[in-house]
Amino acid sequence: MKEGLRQSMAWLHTWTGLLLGWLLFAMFATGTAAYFQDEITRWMQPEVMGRPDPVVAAEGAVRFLQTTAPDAKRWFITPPNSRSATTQVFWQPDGDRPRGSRRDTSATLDGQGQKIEARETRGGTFLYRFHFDLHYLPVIWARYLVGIAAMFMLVAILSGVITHKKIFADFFMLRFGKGQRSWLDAHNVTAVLALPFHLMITFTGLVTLATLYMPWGIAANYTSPDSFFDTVFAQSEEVGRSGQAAPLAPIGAMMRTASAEWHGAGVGFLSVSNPGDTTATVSLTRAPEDAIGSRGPQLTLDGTTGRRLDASVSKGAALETESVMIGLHAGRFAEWGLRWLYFLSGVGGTIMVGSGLVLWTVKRRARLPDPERPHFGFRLVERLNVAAIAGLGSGLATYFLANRLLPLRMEARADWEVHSLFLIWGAVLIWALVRPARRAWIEALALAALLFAAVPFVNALTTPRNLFASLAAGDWLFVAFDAVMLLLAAGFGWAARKAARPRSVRAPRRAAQASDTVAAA
Amino acid sequence: MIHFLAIILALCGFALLAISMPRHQANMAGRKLAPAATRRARVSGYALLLLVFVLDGFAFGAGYGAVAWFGHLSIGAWSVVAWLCICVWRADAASTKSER
Repeated sequence: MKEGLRQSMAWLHTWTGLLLGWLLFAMFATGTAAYFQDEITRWMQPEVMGRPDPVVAAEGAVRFLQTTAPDAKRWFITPPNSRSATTQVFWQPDGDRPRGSRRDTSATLDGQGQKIEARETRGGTFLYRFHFDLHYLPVIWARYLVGIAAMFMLVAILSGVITHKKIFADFFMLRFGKGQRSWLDAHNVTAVLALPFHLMITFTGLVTLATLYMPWGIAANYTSPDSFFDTVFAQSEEVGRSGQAAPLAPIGAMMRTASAEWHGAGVGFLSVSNPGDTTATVSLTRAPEDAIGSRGPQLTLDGTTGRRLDASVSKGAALETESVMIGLHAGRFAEWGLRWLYFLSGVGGTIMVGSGLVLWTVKRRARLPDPERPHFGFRLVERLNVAAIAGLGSGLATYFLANRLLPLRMEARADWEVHSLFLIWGAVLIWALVRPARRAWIEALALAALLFAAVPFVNALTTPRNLFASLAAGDWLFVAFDAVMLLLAAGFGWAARKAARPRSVRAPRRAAQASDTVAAA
Repeated sequence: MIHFLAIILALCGFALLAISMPRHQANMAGRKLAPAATRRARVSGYALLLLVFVLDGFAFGAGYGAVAWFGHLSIGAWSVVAWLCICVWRADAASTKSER
């Protein structure tokens, strides 16, 4: 038996990494972008300005709901946090009414509770949802697929660590212009130097949907999944309306009561049951930005008197651990410095997956019987790599461009922003299938670079918030967005140039191969 | 600001660890270091990384600090990798120039 542990782990690493690698690349890329989902949404609604006060905004939202949905069963209010500028509200209509579409029962409000007049967009929220719900697929399938991919990722990380011969000796090694060796270096450096992040993000990612992937614990102990969730995340029981009208106590005072209870932490979410009735109750949940744990404590108050009714019981150790793990994954607690660290680590992870995918082909190209006519599997992987890496880049840039270029009053505008991402992504896939592989790489990477570079220019032409205006106004969000677009353009442009000059890359490898052959002979 | 300080310190820590590795000494120091100097670099490198942990702990508290520490280490280490690449490029450029 010649095959040792390291060889078998290398096999495992290669194939678990490749099989869902393209999906993992998309998950890493969009998940990384989602660390700035609120900021992306603000960029995609350039009409919305200012930093509203959450308490004033919540009071405005209550006024809006009192006129729009006075007899709803429940109101849900997400006031702005330190990063977002708008209040999200949605409501559950009274039982007898037909449910209607989500658009009829939700609204985005400004700091005064007026419906905002801004372009329709799904903003950063789409990238966040795509990260685990994908698109054009039933959500439940998507989540199973994403879960399998994350499981493969975990296996690939662990087998990768075992496979890596010289973790410490090659810790800082990144050699350019050496073909396969360079790709391996890039893969190692992005993987090893952020290994704690990669392990954490993969494991906690699985934890976020653990009850979906491992339902048997619940199935064995509860009559239905709903009864488990009711027990664990004790929702206040539904009480029928009494039919006696009573005004809602001031919501601002309730938010201050809750903040005082949580040592000054803000309110991130409110739900009001039976508004306008004597049975009204208000549940307030702590803002996720004020602690690592994602499931903050809740406080329930009497809606008409503001008297304290109930506070969430402290969670057991397992639930507390889950809450912190999900919080660590989503990073909602992170202030801007920590948020950039999350983002950069995510970029590292994206490059790790991308370089791993490329490495699969680079490693095998040298061993092809006839490099001019590779077998079907090789060609497939090569083309899918182009589509997954350069295609997604082009798609994301197009998503931002579409936000600026589609007519403001267009029907289903938000949906078409998303469609345009996939149209370009699909177009790059087709392009990659019909062009010679090397040309496809160069052209697709150059396209992504061009599209990213176009974003700041199109933004400057279509909104008053161009780079210079943003710099002058100290609007760092818009400055940083433009800067990241230009950096991405530079990155893709550099990659396209590298792909266009393979001879300088290949020459030393051929020489090395030749010397290997000589040595072997 | 704490983030910048922490990243700079992590960068210095990893730079010392890199210079304690014989394969990087020619690029970073221009010569091989004596065993004693190598050992000093390694010990002080690890000490700096530990110092970043303590700094993050004081600045952000134990929980946030631990998260931030891993981030600072990654960015610091990647910066050293970039620095080494620049060292190699400059050495290559100098050698091709002298060949001419």
